[in-house]
Amino acid sequence: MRYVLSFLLIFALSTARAASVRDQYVEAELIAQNTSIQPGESFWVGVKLTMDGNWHTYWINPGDSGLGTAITWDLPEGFTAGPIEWPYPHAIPIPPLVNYGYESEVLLLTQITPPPSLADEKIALRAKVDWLMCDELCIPGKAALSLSLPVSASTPVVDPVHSATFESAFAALPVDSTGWDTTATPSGQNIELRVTLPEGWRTGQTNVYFFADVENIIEPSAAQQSEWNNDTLRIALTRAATAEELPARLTGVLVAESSWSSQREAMAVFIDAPLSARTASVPTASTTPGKAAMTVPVALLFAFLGGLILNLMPCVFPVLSLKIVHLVEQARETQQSATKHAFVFTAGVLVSMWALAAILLVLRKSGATVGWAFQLSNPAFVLALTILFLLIALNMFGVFEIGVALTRAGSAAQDRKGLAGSFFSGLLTTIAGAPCAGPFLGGVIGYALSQPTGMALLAFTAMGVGTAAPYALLSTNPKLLKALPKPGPWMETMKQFMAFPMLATAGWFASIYAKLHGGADVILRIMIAFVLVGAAAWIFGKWTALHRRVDIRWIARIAAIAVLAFAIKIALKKSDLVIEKWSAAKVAELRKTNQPILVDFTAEWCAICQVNKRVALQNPDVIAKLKEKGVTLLVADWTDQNAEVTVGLAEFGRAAVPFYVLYGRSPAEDPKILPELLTPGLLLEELDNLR
Amino acid sequence: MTWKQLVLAAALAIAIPLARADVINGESAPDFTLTDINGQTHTLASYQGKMVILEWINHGCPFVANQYGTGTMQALQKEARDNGIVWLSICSTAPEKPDYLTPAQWQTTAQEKGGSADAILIDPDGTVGRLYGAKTTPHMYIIQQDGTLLYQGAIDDTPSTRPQDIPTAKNYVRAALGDIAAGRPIQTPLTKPYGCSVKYP
Repeated sequence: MRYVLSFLLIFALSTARAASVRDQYVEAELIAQNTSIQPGESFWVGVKLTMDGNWHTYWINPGDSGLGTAITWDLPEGFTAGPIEWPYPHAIPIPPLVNYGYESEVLLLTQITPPPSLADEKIALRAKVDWLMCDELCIPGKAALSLSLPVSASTPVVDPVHSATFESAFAALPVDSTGWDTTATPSGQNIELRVTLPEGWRTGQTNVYFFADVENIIEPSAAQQSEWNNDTLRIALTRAATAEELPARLTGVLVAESSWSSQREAMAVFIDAPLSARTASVPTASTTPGKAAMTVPVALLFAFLGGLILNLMPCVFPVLSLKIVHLVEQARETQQSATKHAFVFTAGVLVSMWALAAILLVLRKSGATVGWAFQLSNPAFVLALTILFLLIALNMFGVFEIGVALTRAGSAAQDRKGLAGSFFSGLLTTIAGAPCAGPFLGGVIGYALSQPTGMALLAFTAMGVGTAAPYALLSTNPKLLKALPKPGPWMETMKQFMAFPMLATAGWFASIYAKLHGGADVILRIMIAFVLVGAAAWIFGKWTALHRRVDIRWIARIAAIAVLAFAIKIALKKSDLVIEKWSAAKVAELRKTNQPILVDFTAEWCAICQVNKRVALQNPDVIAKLKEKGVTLLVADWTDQNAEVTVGLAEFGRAAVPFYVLYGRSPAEDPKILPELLTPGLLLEELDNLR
Repeated sequence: MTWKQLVLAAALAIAIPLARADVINGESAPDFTLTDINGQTHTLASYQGKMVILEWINHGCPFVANQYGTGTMQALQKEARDNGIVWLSICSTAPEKPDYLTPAQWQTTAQEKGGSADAILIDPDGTVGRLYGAKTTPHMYIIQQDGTLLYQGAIDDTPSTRPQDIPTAKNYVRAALGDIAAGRPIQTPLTKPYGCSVKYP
């Protein structure tokens, strides 16, 4: 009898909790709102997760870490299940992170729709639930749940056992924000969410928090600042640091401490706001901006200040000092002329800023990670800058003059030449400033590049205006112009003095070039090139002056250009590695004579090829080893993707560079394919293993 | 605007990007010095000239366990090693957390899990984790030979602790290494990391 009783007791308990499954610290149960199913009538079921102690499970967007709970339904034929209706989540701080989820208990609601007619008396609903539970540890949990419900043609009755659970879950579901005016505006690393509530909704809520329901838009761990202004609420959100692109709409749930609705319990509302970059039309007059929000005007102010600071950079300052010398000269001219020069100079700065912005934006579009001063990774460009700055210095020392021939050709032409000079110095300011300002202005540029194209261009414009501002201000203000010292011999002294920072800049560029170009004797080659550039400038200065005969002047010009070209050729030359051009015939020829070969399939546009070349192939130890082993290095240049190299690659089943093949001495031996990423150690080892 | 305000504004102009992300792709990855589970000291700077992968690790985390349980992470480590890439696993779990392993326990665990990381570095006070803004385990970083950060984010595109999701997941790190090897720009250089929170003190 005792056995029967205890059996019955166990049976009774097990039917009441039939759908409950525990996996470590979380208990899962599938429950229905009603006691029966009426054919064709949708009904609510829910997966109830009961969590021990501090354990929590996650919302659809888990926040900084974690994983949302997933339900997979296994329903009888004709049944359909809707999506999970998530009660609003809580922000769970795990410093320095913030997660979105639930503690103690949650009911994940789902609406089930049965077919219009049902033959069975009982229906079994099955759900597989996967969740991640975390406290200080994280553990994946799962449960296979089932629930059996009778079918009845009559209107279903609410199950009193679960009614309270369902009621509180429904109360925690976000409500539709019908009639709300919502917009979201990105600006910099901020996104401002603005909601305006119509009549019938409560305003002035405190502790408002916005949960984005899609990951990687809003930074969960960033504080949210909100501010009411009558019936409008502005919330300053922080854009996720990893959000490179923003979706068209910002969706999620806005939660407050008290109900949003004056009629019912509604702690959370759904938000679906167009996420548009409105650069110019941010209303500022009637409302006060959020405290933490970086508004467009503030962003532009910083860009402007960044541009202003550019003037103080060591390689821009001399250019600017030159402009001041011009200014002193112009102070004698009319105000109108000075203003004109200021405008042209500003135009020069702006044009170069825009050009830079365009290049950066195009690169950004192509997915490249670029930064300010990207152009400094191109050796040819750096060499050009080196020589340019050297020439500027020599020009300032007075070694040569540009355009002396024009000085007597009439005032109109002189004016044009002067204007061209102003424009050129504007260009030069940006070009010269970019590399020096890298670490300093990089942030502003980084910010600008994180913006939509229009805003980015605007930021670059602000930067350009900032750079040109001091000069423009000086030129357009007659009082300031008058305050400048009178022109005199001191100007020549200052010009010569300013040549030294220019020389220093040239030296600095030369050091970058040496690093980029590589090679043991690169310094020597740069020095020789410098001497030749000096000679070219001297020839130009000495024999193209107006008192020379016309034919002499032409010979001098040609000679100067020739010497300059020779200087460039010497600087560009690479002498470290005796290399030969690859061809299938060349490989066959060397193989016949039992010579080891290293083939470097490469291309100029292949960054990793260049890295390998610099790091491994041009390593002095590797070069020594190649010589010692008598290995011929054949370079197969695929820069133009020519057919011959394409075929050569295809023979190894390859269609990409870098690709390295090492042939041993014996023609019978198969060539060895080396990894795409070369290191000196690896190459030395492979070369040592050569037989 | 006074000079003081101007200086302040200028300082802010510099500070803004710093607030944006802890480390920025295309910029220099910050140097650090950490001790590995065998007591050896490693600095990032000493690996200059080699590509370096940083992996935030905690074997108590099911996301990490899924990567190692299926041999996925070990396979990637081997590929990296074969290509001359340095792999540094960093554990920023604080000693008071249940997942914490002492160096001796780490040695045993590392042996069990296999893999060919060049070193497993211990960061018990979370300094380096916070320096890099490591949020989750796993959280991955790829650093170029010259110290430039190339990739940061998730290990793959499928946040899951289930082995069956591994074959269909796109491994971002492998894809990035492929892009680098082919001389292409990295297609997805920045992703949101997923996993367990790093168990900082």
